[in-house]
Amino acid sequence: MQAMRLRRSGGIEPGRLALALLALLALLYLALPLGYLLLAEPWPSVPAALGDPLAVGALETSLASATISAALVTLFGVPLAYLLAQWRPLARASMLLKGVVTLLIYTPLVFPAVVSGIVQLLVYGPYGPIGGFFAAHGWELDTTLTGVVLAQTFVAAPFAIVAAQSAFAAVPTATEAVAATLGASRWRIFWTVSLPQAGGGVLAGIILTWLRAFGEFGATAVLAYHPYTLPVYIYVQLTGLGTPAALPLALLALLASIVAISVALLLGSGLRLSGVSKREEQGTRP
Amino acid sequence: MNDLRQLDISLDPSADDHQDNHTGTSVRVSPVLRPFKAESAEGLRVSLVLRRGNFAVQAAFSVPPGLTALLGPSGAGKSLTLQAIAGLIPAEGNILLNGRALLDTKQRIAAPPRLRRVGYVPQSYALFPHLHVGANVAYGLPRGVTYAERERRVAALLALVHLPGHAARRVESLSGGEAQRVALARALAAQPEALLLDEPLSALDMPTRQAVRTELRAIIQASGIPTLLVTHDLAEARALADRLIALVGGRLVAEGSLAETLARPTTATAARLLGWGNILPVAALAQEDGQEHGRWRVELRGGQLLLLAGAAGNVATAHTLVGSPQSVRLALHADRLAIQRGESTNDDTTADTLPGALCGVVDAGPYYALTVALASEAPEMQLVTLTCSPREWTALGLALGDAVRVSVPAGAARLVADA
Repeated sequence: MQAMRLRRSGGIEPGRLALALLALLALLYLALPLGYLLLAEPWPSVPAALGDPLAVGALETSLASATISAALVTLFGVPLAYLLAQWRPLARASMLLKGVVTLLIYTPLVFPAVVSGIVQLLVYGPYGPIGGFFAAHGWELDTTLTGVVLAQTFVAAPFAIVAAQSAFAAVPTATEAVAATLGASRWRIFWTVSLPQAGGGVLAGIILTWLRAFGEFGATAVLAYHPYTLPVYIYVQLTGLGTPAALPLALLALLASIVAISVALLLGSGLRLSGVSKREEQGTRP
Repeated sequence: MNDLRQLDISLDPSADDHQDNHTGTSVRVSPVLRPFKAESAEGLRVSLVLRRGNFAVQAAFSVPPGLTALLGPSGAGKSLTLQAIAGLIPAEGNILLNGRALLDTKQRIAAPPRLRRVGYVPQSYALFPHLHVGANVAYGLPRGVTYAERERRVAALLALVHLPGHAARRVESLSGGEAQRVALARALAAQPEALLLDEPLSALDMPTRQAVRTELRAIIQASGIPTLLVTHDLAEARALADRLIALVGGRLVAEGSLAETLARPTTATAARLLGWGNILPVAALAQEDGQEHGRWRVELRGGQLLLLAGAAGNVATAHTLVGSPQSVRLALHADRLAIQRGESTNDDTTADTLPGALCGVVDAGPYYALTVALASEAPEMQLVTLTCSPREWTALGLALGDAVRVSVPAGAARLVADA
């Protein structure tokens, strides 16, 4: 059938068709579960799920912890990404050092999430060096929002750092060099030259980090089972009551992610249109 | 000329107060702005060594007020030298700007780029793509300047580079020539004591290049700022510069005033770079009259004889040259040679002509490039290229293979060391 239609339409290259077929299959594979969820699920059950105080609490925990994680990664990870991008080692020893640092940043991506949870539990758990200290002073890291944030930040940080690093590396060094000759300090160059040009990539990394933190399950379940995050609560419902109880929550999670992406993108475009460039242009008003 | 008066306002704050004719208000220039005084300027004195892997640049030169071209082929180390002066890459040695040390390895001084007061315009211009033209220019203004003063200076600088009223434009809407001038205005805004321009015209197309060339020279000369301009194009260096520095393989091969440097290369490398075109091996060399300024009797490989004025010789190395003709080359300037039709007679004793046959013609547009095979007693062919105007070419009425004589007037030939 395919071949006949092909001949009639007058010559699409067979190789191109093969590639298109493969791509279509990949797309289908990715879209199928989501599409089935969206079509087959009773959306009216979502408001009912919102009536469950545990579900609402889990959603709140997830939104709060993912936002705190993303903020922490932005505050500490973006400068790290900037310095790494600026660091162009010439000596063999420093090249090696940069390799080690890069590897360190990638480890959370390489580890299974459960393992990330375990290694953190060793440190932040009640018997760990840091967790033990805090527990002795009445702050149990592993059963509070702090534990959730620790777990999520660890797993999600590489997304922002890697994205921001490549965005900063793509900024033409000549613009930064010229800014320096014009009398700008490192600090001013970062804020007025490097960051505005790398902004899109940095923002994309932060959004990815937020989403990864919001969806994080493995490390969170190991380090901070309580308070429930949405993914942990979905798992609890799934194992306790089966899919009918878990699916409305899944839809809720999906909805929250989509809203979050939209807000971030809107914020980002607004920032780039009116923010930094305008401030530079206006200068110091008398 | 109106533009130049605006330049005075923006670049010569030697008086603390500026009377604004339109509003009658006077603008106080911040004392932080050290005014640039052209009369006290010595310019740049550079002596540096910088290494990049196996490649090293080792050069000492000065850049007085005016335009100095740093000429050299690709890979000569020109851009590296510029970046080292701006403080963007590490180097060793000394750099003095108007008596102030920017770099002094022995004293452990290496001023960071932001404190050097050296304007830098890279080959790509590197305008900030996220800022409008006005904000690009304003970037170099001292911080703390009032909004009104800032606007006024940006307007004056844009007028100076012939882009008045373009402050609100986006950088990506600029043409190559406009971007180049915005980059220049941005560099001048910081009131630099020296300017470094890396291949300022190479990103422009031919017609734009010629227009910008004239403007660039006028702007820089009016500003009085010592300017070092990197180029690989001899024509550009000739059109723009007062002084010339030639760099080949990281080494200086010539330095001096433009006319002097072009007229008196001392080595074959320099001669080639400076447009001499023909570098011929010498078989024998003698100085007539035995005097320092006596005429040179030069015998080429093919037995051709030339008598050259004493000035054609490299007096400083005259004796070494005579001793070993194999280390001497005769440089003939393609633009200064002349060509005549006809056989040379044997009793041609003036000996300032070389007989030969026309063996190639290229119509290069504004001129014709001719190649002449010299009449030779040696088996290998000796070629000389020279240029003539289209009018001359028509008047000559030559065809390939015709017998010709290449005459070598004073100033068209020079003895150089084979280095």
